[in-house]
Amino acid sequence: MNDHHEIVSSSAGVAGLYNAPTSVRMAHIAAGLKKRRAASKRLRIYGIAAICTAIGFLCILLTTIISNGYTALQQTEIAVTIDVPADEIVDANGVIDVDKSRNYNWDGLVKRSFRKAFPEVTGMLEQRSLGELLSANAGYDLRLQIEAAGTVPTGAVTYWVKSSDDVDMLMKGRMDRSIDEKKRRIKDNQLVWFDKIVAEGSVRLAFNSTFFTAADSREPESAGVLGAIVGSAMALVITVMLALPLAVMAAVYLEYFAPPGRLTDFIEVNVNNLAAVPSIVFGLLGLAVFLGFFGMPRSAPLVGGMVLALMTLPTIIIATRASIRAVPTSIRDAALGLGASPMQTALDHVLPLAAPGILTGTIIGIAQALGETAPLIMIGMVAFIVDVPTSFTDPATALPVQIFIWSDSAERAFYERASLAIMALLLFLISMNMTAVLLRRKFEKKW
Amino acid sequence: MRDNQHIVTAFDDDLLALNSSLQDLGKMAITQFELSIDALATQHQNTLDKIIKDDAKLDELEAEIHEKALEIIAVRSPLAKDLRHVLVALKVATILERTGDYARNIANRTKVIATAGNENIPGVNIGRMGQVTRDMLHDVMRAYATRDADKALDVWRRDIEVDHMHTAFYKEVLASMSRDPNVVATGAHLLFIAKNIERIGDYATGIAEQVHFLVHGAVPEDSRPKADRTSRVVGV
Amino acid sequence: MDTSVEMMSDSKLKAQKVNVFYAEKQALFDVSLGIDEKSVTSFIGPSGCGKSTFLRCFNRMNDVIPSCRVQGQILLDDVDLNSPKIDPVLLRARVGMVFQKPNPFPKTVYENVAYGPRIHGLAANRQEMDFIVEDSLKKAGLWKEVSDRLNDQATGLSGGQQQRLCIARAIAIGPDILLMDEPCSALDPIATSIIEELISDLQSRFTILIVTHSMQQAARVSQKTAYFHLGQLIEYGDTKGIFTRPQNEQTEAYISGKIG
Repeated sequence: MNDHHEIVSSSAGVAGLYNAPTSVRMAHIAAGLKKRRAASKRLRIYGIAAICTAIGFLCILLTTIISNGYTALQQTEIAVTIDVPADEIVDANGVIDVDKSRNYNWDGLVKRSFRKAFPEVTGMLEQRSLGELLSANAGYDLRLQIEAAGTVPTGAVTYWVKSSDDVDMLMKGRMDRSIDEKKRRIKDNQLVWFDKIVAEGSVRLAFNSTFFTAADSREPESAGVLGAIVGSAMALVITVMLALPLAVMAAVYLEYFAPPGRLTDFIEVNVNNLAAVPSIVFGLLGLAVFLGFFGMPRSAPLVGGMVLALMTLPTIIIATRASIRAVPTSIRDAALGLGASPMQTALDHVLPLAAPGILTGTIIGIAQALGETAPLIMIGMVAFIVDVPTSFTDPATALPVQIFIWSDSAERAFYERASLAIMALLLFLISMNMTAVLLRRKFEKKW
Repeated sequence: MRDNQHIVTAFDDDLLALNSSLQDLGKMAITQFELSIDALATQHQNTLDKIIKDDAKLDELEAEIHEKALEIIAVRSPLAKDLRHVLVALKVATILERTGDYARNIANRTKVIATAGNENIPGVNIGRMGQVTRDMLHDVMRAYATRDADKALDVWRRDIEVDHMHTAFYKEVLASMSRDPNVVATGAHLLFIAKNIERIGDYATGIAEQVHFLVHGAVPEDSRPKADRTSRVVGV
Repeated sequence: MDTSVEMMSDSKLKAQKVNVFYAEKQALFDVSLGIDEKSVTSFIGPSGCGKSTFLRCFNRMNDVIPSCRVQGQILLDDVDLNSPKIDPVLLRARVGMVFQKPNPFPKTVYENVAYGPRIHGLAANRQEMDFIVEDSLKKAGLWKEVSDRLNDQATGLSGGQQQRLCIARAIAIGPDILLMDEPCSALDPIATSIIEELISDLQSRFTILIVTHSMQQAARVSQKTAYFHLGQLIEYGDTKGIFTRPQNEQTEAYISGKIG
């Protein structure tokens, strides 16, 4: 476009609308108005359409996740009548002996008791198939129930133990009975037995508390997200503790103390570029430096947090610098004019005023870190870990990695749990953002 | 484009209007004074009446100038030369109005002298004194119009001439009055008329000082030469 | 200028051939003048004439701007402020500053005034601090209005009150000199009058330098006035003289609102 205009002549003899009477000019403007209105209306419609599309996709995503995942909140349980042999597990005083209990073959007891309800099943193979209706961990399940109760009842009592994941899927209607037996994980005879116990009322859907109290497991019915949540939380604590002070100090230095010059410019450009570096690169760095060079423990939330801190650092630096710059210079001048040192100016006045912005930046960075999988995989946080971590150096996994592991598993029940874990992750994120909003409201000051 | 123009052009317009009003007032005062000097000689009744009647116009114009100056001070907050301009206009307007008053007084007294019908007027020099004073007044208004401080100082120095004339005239009239008691009434009026003219001469120097102040920001430093000795004349 | 050099011998503050550069651009050219103790001196001139830059030389606030270089001497009681031996922090405890826009800290009224004394350790205990706060607020003519809301947010005060709070904050560290950079430009006429009255009161205790765009204000509050144009000191002298009969034509043109 050529923006250069030259006024050739400014003589008053020019006709046209500029010199026309007001009524003519207004009529001309009014004539063009319709077109202009139509144009702005079109633009508005495009905008609405874009937003609707985005919301639509979000809805589809959420619906898919929820419809796939909500069933994992329940777990199928089967009633088994068991006569627990008290003398096998209690000591002389009649109190449950933990050592004895641990060594007792609970699995055998559960399976034997369950088979009693099916006297017609006799063959070895058949009996084994029958046992597969129950969870592989049904014995462990029963043991926990007995130990929790504290006493061993005399005589036969009905216990609810977890079914196998296949029965669970069948119960929830996620298994098609009509397909060929060979392709089906539940065989025809197992279907008959299942239908029998359903008819007897010995099958129920109960709240799946295991999901929220256990770590990972080979068996979907025994797997939970607590281990991953604790792992993620620990890593994030490390991230915040490392990244926030480092980033704030770096930002304050760059804004207030760095002498202008090539070096400062170089640092600035690199900080901005770091924010765009793919996260897996940070993972490689963690692997090479933290694990390789410093020999830190694999799979530990400590290392995960450090890697995530590196990744979050530029985000927080950029946000902090922006919010420091948003603090009016008049406040800075006021403090300096009173004889405050640059450090006092920054700590007493600028940072408190920039805090809401810094907080927002931090939360954004942390949210990003929370959803990060690749760098954690690089440092081994992808391992199969059945215990909830209790310290920063325990091997652990993280929530998104757990989702990744489960969604990759063969069992249909893990898929369901992965969806529920995604919901847990989203909930985690939303609650973090809520906290951020609340803190911001609290700290925000007007001037 | 005029030189030295204010950014707010209406300020210039205000100052120009004030200036031209003051010049008008100056012209009117000079005319009144001229006529009163002429009428003193001719004793022309119509002229005398006109002088007396026209004095109201001077009062009106002076009031107008005051109003204008007040408005400029309130609205424009003049500073430096502009401030001096407005202050000088206020002061000069008052002086010119007083000049007009003296001209009217001369006309009033001329009327009395004319009705008395006493032909024996000893003041030969009074016309000359009037002429010199008129010229001073004229020149000082020119100096004001052209912002010419030197010319104003020249007028300022010329007042001594009027003072000398007044002293001489005073002695002359006093002598006539002591010789002939019949002219005492006329003589008394003539003394006042002469005094009026001498005062107008003083006013011209007052205006000259204002012009100097307008141009240089200060009144002339050395004291003005004075030669009015009438207050020391004890007798003949 | 000859006149200013003559006056300088017994001045509280002396500027000698001060040149200020912003990167390559020179903002002040060879400015020399002397400022009397316990008087009000105003700096006037069109925008960008260097008057604020000059004011900021007196507490080295120009140090904050990395590209800014100051040459020449500024002597406070015959000690050069620009010497590397002078700590700007120490200097600013002696030379207080009030800015164009009222800029109270978003803290309580009390904290605003107490901040300066606190960072300099001027109050040994709470009683002393209370006294400093009260005394400063009284000197700034604000005590009566805020004595019952010392713990309210300072940002809730009116513009004029905020500016007086900033003055109280500046005098709480007991400076000799007060720099005011267009202190009334954001205030209404009533608040302006109150500040001007306050400046007249403060004159008995402080040497006050004020930059102002209002020539009437300069005329009202100051004893000496300096006129700057394009980074040069054009005229410096008694305020009365500057506003009734300036010696320089540029000054004349500026103060009577003519195109210079």
